[in-house]
Order: sequence, then structure tokens, then C-alpha cells
Amino acid sequence: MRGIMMARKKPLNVVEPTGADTETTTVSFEKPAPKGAVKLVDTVDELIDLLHNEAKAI
Amino acid sequence: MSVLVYTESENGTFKKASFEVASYAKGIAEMMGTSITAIAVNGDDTSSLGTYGVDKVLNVKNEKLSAFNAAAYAKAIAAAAKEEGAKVVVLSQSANAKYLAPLLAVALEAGYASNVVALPESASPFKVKRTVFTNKAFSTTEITTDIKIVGLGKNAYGLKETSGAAATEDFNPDLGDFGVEVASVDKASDKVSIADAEVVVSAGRGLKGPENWGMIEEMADILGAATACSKPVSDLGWRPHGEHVGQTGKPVASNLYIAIGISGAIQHLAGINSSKVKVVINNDPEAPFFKAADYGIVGDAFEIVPQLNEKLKAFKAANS
Repeated sequence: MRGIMMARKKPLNVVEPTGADTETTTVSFEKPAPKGAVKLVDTVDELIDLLHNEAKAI
Repeated sequence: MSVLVYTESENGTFKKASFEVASYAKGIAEMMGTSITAIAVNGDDTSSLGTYGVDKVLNVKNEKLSAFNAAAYAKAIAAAAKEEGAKVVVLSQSANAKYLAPLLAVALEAGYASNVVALPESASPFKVKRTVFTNKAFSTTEITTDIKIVGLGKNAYGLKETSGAAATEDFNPDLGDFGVEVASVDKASDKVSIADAEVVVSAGRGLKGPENWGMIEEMADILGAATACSKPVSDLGWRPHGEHVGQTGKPVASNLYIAIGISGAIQHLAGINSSKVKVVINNDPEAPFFKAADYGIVGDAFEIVPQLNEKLKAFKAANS
């Protein structure tokens, strides 16, 4: 109790913040385009064919 | 006034990411009607940068810089930016570039936008699109400072070749004391690194044990791919920690990502969703990874992977 009363007597300095300038601002957010559903394939041949001809990944 | 691009090299050879940032800088330079200067550290084949639109290369030759030192590299780039009067500085998003970018931003009193995925919408005001929230969304960010630093996301822009030649100048800025010295570097050199790979083959706990990784390495060999793994696998000690991809591991932004026996926990997906094409092989049709994948096979990896290896081998033999 005494500590609390003593603390109340302490001076309170209010200091202005510095260096709060921002250098970038976010203008807007957007979600990515919805992804198509997964293409489930049954055989390995089909997968290689799709990767080569459709996705052009191999 | 020009666009400055930091081109990373390793043992004198420029990395693919360097050509990508040069291509991107070319796009910005065209918007602003200015030229491109590249800064390289101990680069050998500096003329190769001309192919991607660089007009001039400032090559810092300094033995002390042969090992990466963020403070010294940032100082060198800042000195180059001041010398050239650059208003835009383009970096990649490699671990080293991410490390030096804030130091550079402080030195140049510049704003920094990371993970940028497209050319600016306009040069003034300077607005760029970048990925945020571990690639789950995009934001448009405006940099309001005089000098702007752009960190280009890996594999986000692609390579654009032009005809041109780059003039090379030696550049020796005052770098002061380094404070840190690299005593030695130990590096695995026999494998394709995950960061540079076009194709990444990744496997998870579904493989049941480290003795079953032979077929994964075989597939990586066939495709010229890097091998990776999920977090439980590296935690169990089946594979080295350097192969762990995911939110807390390495990010992957390859053209093709093949996941075998990985269920697709959200933390794993966060690390791989900048990859272009994702293929999932899993015996559980309910595995969450199928929702994030482009192509999937439901089935036992121990049956499918050997089949796939055979067919891929035949395919590669027929198409090369």
C-alpha cells in the first residue's frame, strides 16, 4: 500500500514518439485467383502425358 | 539516375536469380526510361548479364568479400546506388539478399518491399504487388520514399532475354572494418540445391523409413531434381535438416513439385505454394494436399513410384 502511494507521487513525463514515419503503405489486399480442382489420374502414363503436354513442366 | 540491381554470384558464376532480377529491372527501367546498372561482387562472367538487359556492371573485386558479409555487401551496394544516383534498387529473395536488404534500406533511407511478384503498376506513385501471409494473399504496397528497394520473389517474373552487351567497370568502395570474419565454409556440392532446382521431389512419413529413399533419389536423378522432405522426416533423422521444406524449413518455388507420401499439413503447404505445378501421390484420398495440388494419384507410393521412374526414364530417353 505504501509503495502504491509513493508511486503516485512520481512525476509522469509524457514524451513525443519519434521515428514513426512510414516508408511504405499498403494500398489494398486481394485474394489469389481460385485454384481449379485437382486432376486425379489413374495411370502413370496419363500423369507424364499431362505434365508434358498440359503443364509443360517436364 | 538508373535502376541498380544486385546480382549474386557464387565462385564468380552468376545465379539464375541474378538473371531474373536483371530481367525485372529491365522492365522497371523501360517504365522509367532509364538504364540498368548491376553491382556484382567478385563476378567473373559479367558480360552474361548483358543478355538480360544490364547496361553497365560495377564489379567489386575484393578477396575479403569472397564469403558473404551482410554489412560489407550492403555498404558496397549503398555506395554503388549513391554513385549511380539510383532511385530503384532490385534484389532477389535469397537468404543473403533478405539479410542485407534492411541494412541497405537504412543506409539509403529507402523503403523496402519484399516478395514482390510483378512489375510496378506505376512508377509514380511507386506501387508494387507482393505476396503476404505466407503466400495466401497479395497486397499492393506503395513505397513513398525517394529511393525504393524491391525484393523480387523467386521464380515470380521469369527470365527475359534481350540482345545487348554490358560494359564492366571495377568498383572499389571504402568498406571499412568488417567486424566478422569467415574462417571456413563447408558446403555440400554433389547435389542440386532446393533453392536452384527447377524440379523438386519431396517425400514424407508415408515412405515408412529412410531405407526407402532410394526410389526418391532415383526419380530426382532422372528429372535433374533436388530432393526434399517434410518436417517429421527430418525430425526423425531420416533425412538431413537441409532438405526440410515448409513454413519453418526451406521455401520452394520450383516449376514442378512432386510430393510423395506427404499428407499436406498447412505448415508444409505454406512453404511450397509458390511452386507452379504440384503433383501429389498419396494413398489417402482425403489427404489435404490433394486440395492444393494440380495433379494427383491416389495409390500406394511403393507401387506407383517405381512405375513412374520406369516411365520417366523412357520418356526422358525419348525426348532428349
